[in-house]
Amino acid sequence: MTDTRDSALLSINGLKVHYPTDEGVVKALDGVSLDILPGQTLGVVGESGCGKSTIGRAILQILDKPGRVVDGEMMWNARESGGQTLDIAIQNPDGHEMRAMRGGDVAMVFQEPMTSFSPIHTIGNQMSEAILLHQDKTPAEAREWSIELMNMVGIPNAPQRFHEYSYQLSGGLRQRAMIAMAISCSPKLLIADEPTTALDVTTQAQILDLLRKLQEEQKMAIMLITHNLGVIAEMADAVVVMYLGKAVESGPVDDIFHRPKHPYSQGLLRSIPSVQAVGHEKLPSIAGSIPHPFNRPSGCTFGPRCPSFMPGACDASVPRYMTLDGTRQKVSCFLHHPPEEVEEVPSDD
Amino acid sequence: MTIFLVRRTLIAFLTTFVISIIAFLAIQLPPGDFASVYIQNLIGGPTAPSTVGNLVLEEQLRAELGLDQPQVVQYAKWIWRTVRLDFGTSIEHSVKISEVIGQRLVNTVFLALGTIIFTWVLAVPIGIYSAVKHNSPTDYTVTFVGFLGLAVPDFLLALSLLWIGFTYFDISIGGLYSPEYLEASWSFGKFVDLLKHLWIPAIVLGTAGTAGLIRILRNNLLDELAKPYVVAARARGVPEWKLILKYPVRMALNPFISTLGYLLPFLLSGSVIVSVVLSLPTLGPTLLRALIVEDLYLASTIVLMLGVLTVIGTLLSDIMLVVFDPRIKIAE
Repeated sequence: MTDTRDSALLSINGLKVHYPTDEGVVKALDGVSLDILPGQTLGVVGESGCGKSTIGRAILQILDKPGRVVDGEMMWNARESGGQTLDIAIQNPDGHEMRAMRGGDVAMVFQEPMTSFSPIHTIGNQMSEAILLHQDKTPAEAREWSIELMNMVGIPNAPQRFHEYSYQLSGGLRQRAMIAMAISCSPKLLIADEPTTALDVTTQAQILDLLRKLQEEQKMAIMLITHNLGVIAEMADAVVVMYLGKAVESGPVDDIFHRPKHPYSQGLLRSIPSVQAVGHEKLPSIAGSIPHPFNRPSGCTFGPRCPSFMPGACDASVPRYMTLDGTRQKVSCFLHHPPEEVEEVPSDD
Repeated sequence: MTIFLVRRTLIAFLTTFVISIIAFLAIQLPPGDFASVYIQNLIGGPTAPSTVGNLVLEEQLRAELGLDQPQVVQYAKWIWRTVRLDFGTSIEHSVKISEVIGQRLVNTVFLALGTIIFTWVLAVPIGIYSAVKHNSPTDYTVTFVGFLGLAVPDFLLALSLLWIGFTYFDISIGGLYSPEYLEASWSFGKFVDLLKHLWIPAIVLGTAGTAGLIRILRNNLLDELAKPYVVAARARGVPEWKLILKYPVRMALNPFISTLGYLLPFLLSGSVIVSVVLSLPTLGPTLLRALIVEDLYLASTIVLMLGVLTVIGTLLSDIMLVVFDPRIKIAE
């Protein structure tokens, strides 16, 4: 395990993000651990509200107020480029390091390309802004580079589009422009938060192709946040499955899809409609619904919805997130705990 | 853009024409006219009994002033003079209307500009701060003071300032010029003197507007601050203060640009009482007086001028909106 952590571009460990509200503390992330390897695509899947988007924002330290990182570390490995290892979790969100990182080493593509551009500034204005912030270029050079990037991502008529506004572009073109802006400073990590959710299916495929092509050319890592398992299957090298602010299972994409270990991952995969399905069978779904944020079940949070729920174990303590022997999969479930640990005394959690 | 400008300018002229008719007719709506009011006052106030002799006198005066002619004729004569910038003679003062209102119009515009500048300079930074740091102690303090500012009537504020100035500093607040500049022609010295006097009425008139503007700006900005384009800009590393000024503040100011045109008439009608209290030589008190004595030409000229200024203000703010908000062009 230590070897992956050393070679990881970003290694997140026990990350907790809390939102203190008047009604109580919302634990958006409750101890997430994951590694992103250089040049690889990590897919992050989970239902709405499981905290998958929060990870992306935590990495950039742009959490919505009043959210903040309360515990854990996010080790950014800058050794390859001659820098030091930096713990993002303890950086000042308004500090110089974080600002240099945002849009520089780590860039983000958002779900809504329409609203993610300011409606009263041109596309070119916003692209140049990112370039001028992170690179030593004159405005004229930034403009040239923007147009080149727009050509690169397949936006026709780039010099003209440069002066247009987001509402003058189609959804697909807007997302292309968003991607062009994100890669403008050659990031090492691209966080794509539901990049294709707001697009129609044909455009989705084009955008995914584009991301793959750019990844090859730029050798960047991609963290692909989505609820769409099809997108994950097509794009990801490794997968993290999240449930209620925790990673419940992770591993290489083939292992997760063919040999899922956690009952939640198994349930997710069963609920994908199959092309081979005959007749009008009802699609299996995961029983129950996501618990209220202020009323979390004790022990394993998936317990109440789990088909393999074991009274006395699952509701008593939290299963450890650990690597399964002989595999590259990590899972957090008592079904896969060594037998002696099941009877463990309940922890304070 | 050219088509837009031409169309808007034509509409502005048409609007002004309609305003002139309404201004002229509305002022004649109250019973009586200048002649009846004048004679009534001569014989001893509204309660004095009118006699046949008075009525004959009244008719003579009316004929002399041309007030006995049909309204259409009166309007045609008045508007024909007015478009040639000959505003005629005030019936009450027997002097050229341009003399009565010329200096006062300048004062009014200066006072309005002063008030607007005071309001914006104070309200915009406070509004932005209070939105960015919303629900902080500073925000609550500003909100409290703001509501106080909204609630206190401005004439009361004017009276209090007068009293404070007189009691504690032994100075007389009021007026817009020192005595030595009152009759002087425009010079740099007179302008500086005006600025010295202008700030007090500007504060008095601007307080309520400032408080209102802070509230609206704060709420507009709170809506904008959570928008995805703000998060996206933050994600590309734009420094926080630059980001807030460039994106959400620009968006939050748009509604204000569209209301710039109404500020002038709003300030004028709101400033009548304050102008009386602080003895400011502005148009407000003149209009009030002209309406009371039914000085037809003076009153309609002032109303028409305000109308013209409003139309010009609206036209300018429309043009500014088109310049500032690219989305408006496609709607045209």
